Amino acid sequence: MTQPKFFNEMYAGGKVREQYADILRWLEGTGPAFIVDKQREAEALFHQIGITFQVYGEKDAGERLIPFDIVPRIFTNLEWSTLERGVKQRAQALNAFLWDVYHRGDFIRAGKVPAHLIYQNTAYEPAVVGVSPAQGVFSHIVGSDLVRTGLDEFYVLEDNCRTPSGVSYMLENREIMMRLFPQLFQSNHIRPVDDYPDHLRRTLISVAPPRCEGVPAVVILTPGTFNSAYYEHTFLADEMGVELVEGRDLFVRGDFVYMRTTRGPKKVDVIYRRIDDSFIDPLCFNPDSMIGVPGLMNVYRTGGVQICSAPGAGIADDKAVYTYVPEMIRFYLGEEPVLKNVPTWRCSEADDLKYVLEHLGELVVKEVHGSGGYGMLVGSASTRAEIENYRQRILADPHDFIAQPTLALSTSPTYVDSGLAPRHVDLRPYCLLGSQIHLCPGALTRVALKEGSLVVNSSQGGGVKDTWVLA
Amino acid sequence: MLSRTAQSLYWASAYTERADNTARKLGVGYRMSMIPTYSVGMDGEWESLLSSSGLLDLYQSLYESPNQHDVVNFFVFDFRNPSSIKNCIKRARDNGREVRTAITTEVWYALNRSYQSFKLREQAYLAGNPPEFDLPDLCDWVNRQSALLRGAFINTQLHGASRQYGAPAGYKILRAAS
Repeated sequence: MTQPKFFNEMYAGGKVREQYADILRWLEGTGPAFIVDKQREAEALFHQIGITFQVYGEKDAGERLIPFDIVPRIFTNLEWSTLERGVKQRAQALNAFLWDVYHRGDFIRAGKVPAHLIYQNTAYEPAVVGVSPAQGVFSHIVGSDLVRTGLDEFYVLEDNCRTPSGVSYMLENREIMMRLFPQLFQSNHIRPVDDYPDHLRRTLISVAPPRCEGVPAVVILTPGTFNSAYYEHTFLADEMGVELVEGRDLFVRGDFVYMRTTRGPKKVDVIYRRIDDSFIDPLCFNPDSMIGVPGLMNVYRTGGVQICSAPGAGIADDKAVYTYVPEMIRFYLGEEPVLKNVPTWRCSEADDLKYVLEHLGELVVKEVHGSGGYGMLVGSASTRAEIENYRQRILADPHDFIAQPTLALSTSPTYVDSGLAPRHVDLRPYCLLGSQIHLCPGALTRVALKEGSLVVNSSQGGGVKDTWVLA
Repeated sequence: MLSRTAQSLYWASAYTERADNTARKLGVGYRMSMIPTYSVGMDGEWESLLSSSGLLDLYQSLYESPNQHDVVNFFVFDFRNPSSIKNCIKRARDNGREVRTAITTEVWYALNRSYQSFKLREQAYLAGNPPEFDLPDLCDWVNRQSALLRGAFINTQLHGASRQYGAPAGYKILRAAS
């Protein structure tokens, strides 16, 4: 099999790109022993701070470190400004779509998307119909996953409109890099990311519900210490200076939500929730939920509290709805999309299904409702038996699957045992929407540490890198 | 402050205090085991340690008659003993982790580091390295860890609700009870 050519972000036309010149010079002038030392130091720091994540389904479900690569990924300001335009545009269109599907449904009436794909979708929440959240925003933090295939070619792989995670890694990676390699920050002009929590807090305050009086009380709602992203929840609460609450800390009385404090009940105005829709209110959704707040949705619907992101925001990042995002951008904003969608086959459609089944060996097939890299098939990296197995799964329920071509993901130089080597990367920037729209000049870069692997998810052995945007 | 936070702060310090107490008792038992006695048999002092801790019944349901190796294992590494040093250190850290935003970085580091290094000590113990388990060293280490935590708490935690519910309350109530 011939290896496809991948775009290596350090080079263009055989030459080292200017933004990487400094770091390459530095790496070459530094002994491997020193770098291995630094890598170890970074790991010790991560352990000490307690930045760990948990992998579901592992027998000894202990806490694991996310592997950190010390070679940064670098964007020029010019590259970034295009990305910024594209990401903001997309986030706005997704929110316009959410407003629309929970109100008049013009997009559907205009025949842009089949009605059943929206109204029969499990991610669509009837309980949110007619709700008009402050500033018209349903999804306040949008984290779209991007990949690069060429110098100016970016694709959106998927959108995350519910509660995209990983932002704490973006911030901690930078923190660690600044501690380990201060000299690099003196010789490069790198735009800071550490004001992200501040922007997040302002965003949350700006969407306080209509019936809030005075300074809005913001909280983060976590499922608890067993959640894989618990560290991130504590980190954000700490950085923003807000309470980190669990469902049992909150209760509904009358028209409002309160938290139990040592000085009695205190009213809560904005909830940044990091728990799934189905668990936030046992009276409205999953009745077995132990981590939700009974009656929360009543207060939400009557404007007594803001939930960020709104329940039901998941309809916008559904993998089957994804294919319609470019059309949303044209429909709501009257603009052409800046960022491309990956061509996608929907197995629910007969023609597409036929094509997918014939080309399983070269496609990437995903579950429509899956996430975290679980339950997907990378055709080119799978055995015959695995493909046959997957074929049966698709045939059993074609509606559950979509397929995309295997993209030639760009690579970024990464420090591995044998020295500097190209490894595939993706990119998740974080876009905040409230009274203003803000994109943090930085992102989470995930890197597939296994040679040739295209799966970057941390649950599947991926690592992270610091991502620089040069001023 | 959230009521749950107050609860976790209390338990974080209470469990640390308990680990400290257990280590002190073990130290005493170890010294006593080196002094010849006539009234009770060889390992009588270990039995008195178990009964004074209210754990004799639990011990007897898990082990044969008390001897140094088993008693030490029971008090230090046995997860089935709710008051074992292993459990206390883990629970102190779990409670700290639940209220990570209410404690200072220094307090968290102290909790996290005790937990991480206890795991290393346990690994070494299970691997039989060194072959002769150094109990006094472990007891000293536990006492130092709890002193470190108490110091971090007093030094860095804001005077306010967290001081009220955290270390002082946790220690005082446990000390009054023991």
